Amino acid sequence: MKTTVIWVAFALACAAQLFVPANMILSREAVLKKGEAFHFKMQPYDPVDPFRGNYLQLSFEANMVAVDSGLWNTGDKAFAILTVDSAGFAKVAELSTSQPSPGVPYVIATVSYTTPFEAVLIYPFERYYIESKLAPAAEDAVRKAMIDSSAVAYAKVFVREDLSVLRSLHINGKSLEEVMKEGEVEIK
Amino acid sequence: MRIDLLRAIPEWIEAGLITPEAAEQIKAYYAGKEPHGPNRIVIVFGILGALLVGLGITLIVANNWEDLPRGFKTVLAFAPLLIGQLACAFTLWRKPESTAWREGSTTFLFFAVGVSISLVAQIYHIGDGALGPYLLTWSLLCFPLMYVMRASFASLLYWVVITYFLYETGFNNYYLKQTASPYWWLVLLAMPYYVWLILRKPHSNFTAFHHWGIPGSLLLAYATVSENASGALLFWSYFLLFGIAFLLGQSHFLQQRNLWRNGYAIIGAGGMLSLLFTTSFSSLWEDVSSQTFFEAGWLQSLPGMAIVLFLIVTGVLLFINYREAPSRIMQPLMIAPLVFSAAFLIGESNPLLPTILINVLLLVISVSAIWQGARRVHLGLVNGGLLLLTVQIACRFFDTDIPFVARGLVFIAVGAGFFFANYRLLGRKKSMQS
Repeated sequence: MKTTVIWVAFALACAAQLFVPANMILSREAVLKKGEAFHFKMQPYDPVDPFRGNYLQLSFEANMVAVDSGLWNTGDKAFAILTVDSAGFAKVAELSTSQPSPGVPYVIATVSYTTPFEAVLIYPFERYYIESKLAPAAEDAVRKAMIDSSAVAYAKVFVREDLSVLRSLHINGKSLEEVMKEGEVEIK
Repeated sequence: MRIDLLRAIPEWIEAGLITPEAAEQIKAYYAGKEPHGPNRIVIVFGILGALLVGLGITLIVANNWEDLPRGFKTVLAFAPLLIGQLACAFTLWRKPESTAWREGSTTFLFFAVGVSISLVAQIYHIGDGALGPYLLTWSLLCFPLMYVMRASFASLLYWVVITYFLYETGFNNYYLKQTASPYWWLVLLAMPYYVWLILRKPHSNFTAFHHWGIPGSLLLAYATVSENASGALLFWSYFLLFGIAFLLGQSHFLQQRNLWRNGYAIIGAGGMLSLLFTTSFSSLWEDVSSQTFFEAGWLQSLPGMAIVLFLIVTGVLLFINYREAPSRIMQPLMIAPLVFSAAFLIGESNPLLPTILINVLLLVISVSAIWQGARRVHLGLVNGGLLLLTVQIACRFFDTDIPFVARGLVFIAVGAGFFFANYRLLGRKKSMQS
C-alpha cells in the first residue's frame, strides 16, 4: 500500500515536471503560429542572469505611454492595447485596467513608475537570450544602430490573447543574427 | 570514533576493564543503534557528483547555443529532466534503501527541473526581469521529491530556492512589486519533512543542517512582513524572535551532542547578543522615548500583534524549559527577551533606565559565562565571557566622556583578566588531569 502511494506520488510529480515546460512551449508555439506580429522600436544593454545566461535587456519606445495623472500606480497590471503608427511600429493606443474585447491585440504589462503625464511600462518580453560569446558583439551592433539616426532597430513580437512571444531582433530589416554574420565576414 | 571504540574492546577485555558480557552488550548497543549504517563518504560523493553535474548542465545551458535550431533546443530541455526522472524511478524500484542513490538521483532531478524551465524561458525569451515566478515554479515542481524519495538534500535545496525566492520578491523588487507571500505556503509544504527529520533522524547531519537553514530563512522572512514597522518595534520583535530560536534550541528535541549542530541556539544567542550591544547605546532609547507607539491602537497593527504573539510563545517555551529543568531558566540569555521587553515598556517614559538595564543584562551574561566556565573548567566559555565584557567596555567608550588614561587602565585590567583567568584555568585542568 505504502509503495503504491509513493509510486503514484512520484508519477504525479514527474507528470507535473514534464507538463509545465511542455505547456510553456506549446502555448508559445501557438502564439508564434496564430498570433499577430508587432514591431517594437528598441534600445538595449547586456546583463547576465545567473540561471539563464546572457541576454540583451531591451527597452522600447512603447515603454512610455501618455496617461492622465493619478490613474496608475507602480506595480499595477495594465492591458496595453496595441496599434501601429504611420511608420509601421507598435504603439500603445490605450492602457486599460480590464481585459480588452476578443480580437483586440494587447500585451499584459506592469507599471514600473509614473510621471505626471506618462506611465512607464515593463513588458513580459524585455529579455533577448543570446549565446554568451556573441552577447557583447550583439549589444554593440544594436547600440551602433541606435546611434545612427538613419538605422532602425526593432523587436518582432507575436501577440495572441494573454501571451506575447519575442521572436527576433532586427536592424535595418535584417535579423540580428544576419547582421552579426555579415560583421564577421567584414572582419575576415 | 565509534569504529575506534569497537576496535579497542578486545584490548579492554584483556586489561580486565570490562567483562566479555559487557563487551557483547556494547557491540549490540552500537549495532542496534544503526542497523545498516550508510556509508557517509558514498552519500557525500553521490550528492556532490549530482550537484556538480547538475550545476555543469545549468552553466552549459546558460551559454544559450545560437546555432542549435529551436526544435532541437526544445528536445534538449527535456533530456536532463527525463534522465533525472529515470534515475529516481530506478532508485525507487531497485535501491530504495540506499541513501546515496536516493540523495544523488534526487539532487540531479532537482537541478534538471530548474534547467528545463530555464531552457524554455531562454528559447522563447520569456521574461520581464523577474526571477520570482521562475523560482516559484521550480520549488513547486520539486517539493514532492523530498517526500517521495525521502531525500534530505533535496529538502535543503528546496529551502535554498525558496529563500532566494523570498529575497527576490521581498527585498529586490522595488519596481516590479512582486509579493513574497507565496513563501509562507512554500514553507508549509516543506515543514512536515522537517518534522519527520527531527522525530526520525534527530542526530543525522542533514537534520543539523536543517537546524541552521530553516531558522535562518524564517528570520529573514520576518523582515518582509514587518517592513512597515518602525525601527524600534522591529528591534523588539526581532529580539523576541531570536529569543524564541534560542529557547527552541534548548528543548530536548533540538538539543544536539555538539553545540555547532544546534543552529537555533547559536543563531538565537548571536542575534540577541548583537541586538543587546546595539541597544546598549542610549540613542535607540532616545528614539523610543520620542515616539509613542503604545497609543492609537498599536496592538491592532501587524508589528504589535506579532510582538504579543512572540511574547506568548516565549512564555510557553520558558514554561516548558522550566518543567524540563527548573535550574535551566536561570541562564541570563533565556530570560533576556523578558528583560528586553521590560526595557521597552519603561523606555517610553525615560531613555536612561532601559540603557542601564540592557548594560546590566550584558554584564550579567558575560559574568555568568565566565563563572560557569570557571566552574566547569571550560576555557571557551571563560574566554567567550571575557570577550563579551571587552566588547561591552569598548562600546561604552564611544558614548561616554571617560578620559583616555582611564580607558587605557580599564583595557589593561581586562587584558590582565584574560591572562589570569586562562592561567588559572589551565593550571586547574592540569591538576585535574594528574
